[in-house]
Amino acid sequence: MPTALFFRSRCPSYPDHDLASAYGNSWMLVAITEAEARGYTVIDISGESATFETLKSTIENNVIDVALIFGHGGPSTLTGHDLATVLEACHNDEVMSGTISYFLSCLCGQELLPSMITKGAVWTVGYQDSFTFMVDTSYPVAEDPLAMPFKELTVAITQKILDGATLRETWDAGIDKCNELITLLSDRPELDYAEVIQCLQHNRDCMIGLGDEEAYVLPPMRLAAVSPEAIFLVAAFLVLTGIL
Amino acid sequence: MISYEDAKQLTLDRLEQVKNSLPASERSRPRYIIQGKSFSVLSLISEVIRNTDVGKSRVYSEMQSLGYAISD
Repeated sequence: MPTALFFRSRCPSYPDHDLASAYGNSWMLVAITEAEARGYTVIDISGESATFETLKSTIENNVIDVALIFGHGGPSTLTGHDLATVLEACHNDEVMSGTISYFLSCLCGQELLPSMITKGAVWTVGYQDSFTFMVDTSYPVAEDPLAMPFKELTVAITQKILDGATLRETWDAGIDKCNELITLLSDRPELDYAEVIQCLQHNRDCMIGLGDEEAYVLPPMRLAAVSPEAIFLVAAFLVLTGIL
Repeated sequence: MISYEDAKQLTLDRLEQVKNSLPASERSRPRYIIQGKSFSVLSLISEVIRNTDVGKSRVYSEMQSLGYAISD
């Protein structure tokens, strides 16, 4: 079965950053459920394990078909637990070689993601500027109505990757989801949603996709659906040609 | 086209409008996540006034949503 690697960091020592982490972790949990529902083998690196060492050893010891990453980012870095640097452009980003990935991280589309592609990453989607969103902390994280559009955007992109979309299809799905949400929320009279729309426009305009435009992850269900046919055709060919 | 100073003032006006729409108790509650950090409306106003990276980012984002290009 294909393997989906999830990387989710928290930063309990930095409360100003950990609120964003709580949301990112929650949204990635939804993506994990989606991956499991599709039959992926899921590897979840989270909490104190969200370090470069764990990421590297996991990638070295498993065939990773898709990597879905949440962590605070900078132009050339991805951070993990308590903002410790995990990936750095031109330093250790070759560990992502061979992966299809999505980075729910600020800014890393500027240097880190392009560098990863030059080191052999298949394709990746991320953000060139801050992934900006709004929260209403009077609600539990998973039910926050102001953050819900951003959760929907994240889930739409991760679902598309898990369903076997190409880079272009995944990027288009992200853009389309932003536009759909902007149109939907345009009817809301509250000032809050004018600001949510502004954040969605910002995230849409700084979304970046880089790498091989043909490659995709073959989802487990597609494997299951195609395999019997393929087996039958091969068997029929072998019988007809007299090999069997 | 709009100058950065005018854009900054327009952004501050809009943030003041948001601030005034909120109950006093919510003005210092986290509301925005920008570059991974949480900001209340009051702290974001402060970032814009002080011309920090986050403040400038907010000004550019605000103008982008209004369809303005900043001239300097």
